[in-house]
Amino acid sequence: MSVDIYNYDLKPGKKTLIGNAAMVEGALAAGCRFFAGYPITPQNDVPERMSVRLPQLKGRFIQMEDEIGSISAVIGASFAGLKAMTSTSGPGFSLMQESLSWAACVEVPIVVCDVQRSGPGSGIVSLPHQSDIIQAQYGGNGEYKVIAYAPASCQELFDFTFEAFNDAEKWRIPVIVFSDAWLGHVREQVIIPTLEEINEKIIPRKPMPDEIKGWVPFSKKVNDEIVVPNAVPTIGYDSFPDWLPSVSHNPTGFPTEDSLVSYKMIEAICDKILKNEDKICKTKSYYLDDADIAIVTYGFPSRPALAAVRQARKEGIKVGLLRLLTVWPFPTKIMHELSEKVKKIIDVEINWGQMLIWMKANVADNTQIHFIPQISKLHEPKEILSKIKEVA
Amino acid sequence: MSLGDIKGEADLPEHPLVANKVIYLAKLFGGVKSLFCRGCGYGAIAQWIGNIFYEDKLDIHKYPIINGVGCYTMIPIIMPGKILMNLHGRGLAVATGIKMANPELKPIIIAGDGDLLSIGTNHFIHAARRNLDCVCLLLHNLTFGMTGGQVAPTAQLGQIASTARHGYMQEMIDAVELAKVAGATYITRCTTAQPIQFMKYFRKALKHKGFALIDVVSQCVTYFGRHNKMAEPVEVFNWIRKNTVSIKQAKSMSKEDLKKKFVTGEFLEIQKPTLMSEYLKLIEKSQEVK
Amino acid sequence: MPILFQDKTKGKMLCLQFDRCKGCELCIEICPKKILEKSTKLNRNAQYPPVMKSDTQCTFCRMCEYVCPDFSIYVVNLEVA
Repeated sequence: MSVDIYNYDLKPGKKTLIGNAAMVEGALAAGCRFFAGYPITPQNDVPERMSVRLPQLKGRFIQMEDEIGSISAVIGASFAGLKAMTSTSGPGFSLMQESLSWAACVEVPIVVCDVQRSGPGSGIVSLPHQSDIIQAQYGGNGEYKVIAYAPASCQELFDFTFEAFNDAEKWRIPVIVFSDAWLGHVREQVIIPTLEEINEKIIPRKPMPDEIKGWVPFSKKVNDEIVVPNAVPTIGYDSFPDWLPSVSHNPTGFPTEDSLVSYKMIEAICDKILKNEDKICKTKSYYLDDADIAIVTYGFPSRPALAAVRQARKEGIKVGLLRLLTVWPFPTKIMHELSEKVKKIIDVEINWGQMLIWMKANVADNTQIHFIPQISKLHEPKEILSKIKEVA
Repeated sequence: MSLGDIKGEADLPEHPLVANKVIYLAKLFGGVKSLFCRGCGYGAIAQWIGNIFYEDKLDIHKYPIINGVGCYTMIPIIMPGKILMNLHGRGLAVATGIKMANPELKPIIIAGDGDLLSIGTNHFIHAARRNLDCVCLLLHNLTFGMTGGQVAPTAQLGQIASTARHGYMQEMIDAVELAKVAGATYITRCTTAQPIQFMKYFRKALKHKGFALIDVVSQCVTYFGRHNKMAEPVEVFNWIRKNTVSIKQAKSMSKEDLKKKFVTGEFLEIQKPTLMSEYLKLIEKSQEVK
Repeated sequence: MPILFQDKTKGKMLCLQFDRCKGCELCIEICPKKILEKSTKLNRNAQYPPVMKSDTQCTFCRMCEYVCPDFSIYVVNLEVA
């Protein structure tokens, strides 16, 4: 295989990129060398840029006949040894759900970028809407857990896409990176790291484990802890089992019709993420030390929310902001701790209340949760400020 | 799966594929158990592929088998090699990803009539159009066996199935004609009564550079046979044999007569640039423009 | 019963795994020399496996081996026994 995983040739330093381009460069820096996609607004810049950059880095690009073909090709390429990614928007993301459920069952590391647009149906192609948050976790059939990132700027699109590939390799899970129609086209400065900085942080693809004797290709529970295998079964190597089924299986890969084996498989797939919430969830807090009210948000609305919080502080209101950098797994412990410190929480999302349900389920009793919905446009800081004043 | 009822006579030599641990179940448990119906054609096809792997000493790392969902899902236990099972109908898309990631591999895709010609027709047409370098085996038994005998798009006009109890009212789809139009480069068809031809076509397909389709007509006794008044394996087998014509004989028959027949032989064998040969040229070009 | 036919000059024999056979009769049908017929003895699958007709010779063409779905009837070299 003549694919140079560590060659990344964008000059380090400051560069002005649109959001979709920053996502592409972050993926290429993480070692992604396979992309399969299908055109859909508003993410068309992603396959267009990939079709030029990947052959330069000796990677593979293909425009498939539909989204289901794209995600299937990505899973095949990941099993054949390359870090692989696809990107789509809302309608395409719905088509990919069965394959995401398959990818979670067979524990293959892939990255899916969802540049969300207004929905449902064909919606409005050029307006933002955080419409696929619950779908990312519960859209596919069966039970599985994914990791999802919600960046809010071009620099974060670069950094979080890089982290998404690392998380996929470490936890052997499909990882989703959320963007939206406006964030994908914002033009901002991105600082490209040097090759040394990239090589320090990257988790490389490992086709063979250090010790093949006694190695099993899938996660299993050992002494109350889920052990995730440290290599990816790759076609062409001995790490690939003789039969890798898409049906429920035991840790060695043999299929089963036994309910106990199926129970253990679900326990391994779900608990490897849920029990490691502390290591996977990332949040960022602003002005929360002495706050009475907290705004909890994620993604693009974080920016007007921060502006509103700063203005409110100038006016003397004790308000703070908690940004969820990873939306899934939901940070249940952090949410609960926050609700014990502040008694009033304001949820800011561009939808009709998707994370709202999760927040309500994970807060202490007597916590008031307020909600500022918005559809197809970004919240304005004055809207959030007036809600803060109303609640205070 | 309990193997308690595997018994051979104590002094009887075992089948060569089982004795040499070529097939998966023999590697795991030392024996073999057939999970197929009495008279099913799929067990025989798995044996032919196993024979080719064993006699030609093929490297199993180089020929991954991409297996779909259907009655032939259980074929991997009696086959050699490294097998990846995919979702229903997506085998060719997965094979595209595998081939592009590592061009030294040559995937062998095993699909049924529902997998390839019902839900997966879109992927079939585009993989043939791209001339993906792989071997595509269509296991054609004119029905959806695993789910209980529903009608398949390859069933002939008038045949009975569990979702077409008064006879199928639609025209059948022909995989060979579709592959020709889409751009495949090596197209053949044979039946389960022609093992020598199958093995010859399969060996040629492995060496061919481009999309190779082998359409194998096989007998489904439990559903197709019983619904169409052919309850014994020998009856369905003989029905297929009686309705098999070669390409030469088919030239002098009318279109109406041919609708009920299975035309077998090598339809096309040409060379065209493949997907990866063109893509590698693109990589070369992109290095200069940087 | 298990060894249906052997020919020391050619060094091959035709074997039958009696209890694995499912009685589908495809080998009897496909044999070009028509040397097999259904036996009258039941096996563990409650089916009637094939048996050689009297005064017949097997040419070891392996067509019965190829068409059998159950790995039950096959040709092996004599040294293996």
